[in-house]
Formats: sequence, C-alpha cells, structure tokens
Amino acid sequence: MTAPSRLAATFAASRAEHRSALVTYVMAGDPDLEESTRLARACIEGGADIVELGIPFSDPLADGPVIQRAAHRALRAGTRLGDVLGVAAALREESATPIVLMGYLNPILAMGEEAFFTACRDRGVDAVIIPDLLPEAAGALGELARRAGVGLVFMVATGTSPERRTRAIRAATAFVYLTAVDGVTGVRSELPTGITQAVTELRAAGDAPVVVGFGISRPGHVAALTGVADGVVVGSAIVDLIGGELDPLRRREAVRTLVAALRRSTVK
Amino acid sequence: MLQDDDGQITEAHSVSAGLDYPGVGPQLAYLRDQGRITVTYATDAEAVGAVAYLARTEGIIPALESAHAVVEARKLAASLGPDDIVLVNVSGRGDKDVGELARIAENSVAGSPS
Repeated sequence: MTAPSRLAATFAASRAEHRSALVTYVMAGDPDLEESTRLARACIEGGADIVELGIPFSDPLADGPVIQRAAHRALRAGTRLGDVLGVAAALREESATPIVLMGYLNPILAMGEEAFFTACRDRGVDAVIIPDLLPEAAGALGELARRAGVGLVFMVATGTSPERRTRAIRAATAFVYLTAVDGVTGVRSELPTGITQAVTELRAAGDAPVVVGFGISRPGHVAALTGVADGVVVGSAIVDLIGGELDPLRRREAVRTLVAALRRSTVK
Repeated sequence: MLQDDDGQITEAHSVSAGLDYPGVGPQLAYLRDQGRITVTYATDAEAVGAVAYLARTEGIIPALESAHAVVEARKLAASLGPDDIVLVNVSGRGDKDVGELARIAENSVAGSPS
C-alpha cells in the first residue's frame, strides 16, 4: 500500500537524508483551540517533518497521564471533533507539512465515519491513527478512508505475532505504528532494546513505512532510532511542556526549542 | 455506552462498584433489542435494603450488584400467585461489600433519619 502523497514524499525525503522523519504530537484544543494551533505551528517552525494532532477523548485508553490530562483540558475548553479538523485546516492553509490525527473510535462514530473522512480530505489531513481500531475490524471504515484518500494507521507492538503484524501492514494505508514500549504513551527515561530488530522484521514483512512512538521523549532516544525507522514520534514530552508553562510566549518558545533539539538529533 | 452527542463517555454512578460503569455488553444489548429480556433498574437505597432483606429472611448476604435483582424479584412477586416460581440469580457474595454497607449505615445514623 502506498502512503498518501505528502506523507510518502516526506518519508522519501528523510530516507534520502539517512534519517527518520520527526513526528511531533500536540493535543488539539489544549489549552484552547487557537493556542494549540500556534503550538502545532511552533512544532513546524522547530523543524517537525510531520505534525500529529490529538483528538481529545474522555477515555483515552492508549494514553498515559500526561496526554490524559491534556485531553481533559481540551474537553473542558469545549473542543469538539469538528474543531480539531478546523485546526488541521488552519495549518494546511499555511504549510505543506503532513498532518496526522490521532484519536479514538467513538467520537468518529458519533460524527459519522463518512462525514469524518470526507472532512479529513477537505481539511488537508493526510492520515488518521485510531488506537482502538483493530486491522481485523477496520472493514467498511477502511474502505471509506481509502475512497477519501486518507491514510489509516494501525499499531503493532514488539510482541505482536507475525500473523497479526502482517494483517496490520496489509491494512495500513499510511504507515505502521510500532509502539516502542509496552503500555501507554508517556515519558520514559530509557527505551527497551529490540526496537531495531522489530523495525527490521516489519520492513521485511511488507512495504509500509514504519513509525516508532510511545516513550520516545529525549533527543538521545531520537538519535538512537534515526535512520532505523521511517519516523519517530515524540508526544508526551511536548505535551508535558505545554501543560507546565502558563505563559503563552514562553510555552511556544519552549516547544520550538525542544522540537529543534529533537530535529537535530535525527541527523547522524 | 452512556455518551454525549460527540461520543464522549459520560460518568456513571452506582452504589455497587460492578454496576458503576458507563456501558452495557453487546450480548445483553442484543438480547434486549431482540425482546428476549427485559432490562430494569433499582435505586441505591433499594439495593441496600434488599441486602438486609435477604440476610434477614434467608441468611444470605448478596453482593450489592445481585441485590438489584432481589429488588426486582420482590416487585415482580407481588403480582404473582402463590404457585408461581421466581428464580433469582444471586451472582455474587456480599461479604466483599460489608465495608461499603457499614459506611452507608454509619452515614444514615449520623445524617438524615432515613
């Protein structure tokens, strides 16, 4: 399966530079819609290759406390799924950086799957990560995404069986998301060994790009994985900064500085 | 699921931990939609009362979850004849709930006369 064109071009470009694409995550609507748009923009200015926007959900089962709190801040601020698509549209107007949404199934079902993927296409969203959608259960949803030209991402862990890994690769139309650690999103001081091996196995099992996330929080983590995976995701480390700094200017500057350091670490 | 128009899950409440959950399993939902089961409810106070009732009359302390079924059985039995048979599935034991029941008893003594 080929990735939607903006994503494919980004992976090809970073591969040509023998590095991984840097994927940075912010929660849409945290602390409010306008400010989260500016924070995503700060990520792009800092050198992010791909922007990932979180869709706030009341029961974010794959997320650790940092992103759970961000989701609750965004929901308290009144963020709805349509607003998240609005943030994507605002970024798309000013930048060609690929945009990936990450969110859970229930709000998508509440909006209507077809309306959601059509809106994704119209608002410039390249792909969607739905952690609680299994490749075996994607069915009609996968078909709607494909028709809209929006990529779907499926997750695998280092312990996923070869059979399920193959199903995830076949169903994925943007990239496969390998969770670097078992458990939920969140900052870890060290990454487990065996990620390189898992990426190599995924590459051998299909031609979907492989993006690694969960637990990757420090420039050293990025440096260890760059060139191994097609992309590396940093989420909680950025979201933690956002939650901990109340001054908007300092907050944006802190995000820009961290992203720039992470981006430098992708270059060997 | 208990949810709002945006698909955000809303808070549930029950005196029994096992029912304090905002969803219903697909099997039960299907059976209800098929019309093969009738789904009903009991209030916290009714369930607590049913624990005392079954303990006093049968020497069985039901779990707070199962006590909800005892409430419904008593309501149903009132409309049945002496030869009708009512079967109650006491699905769990109430010794796990004595702490919670003691807390409720203390509050009702310290608080309102009810």
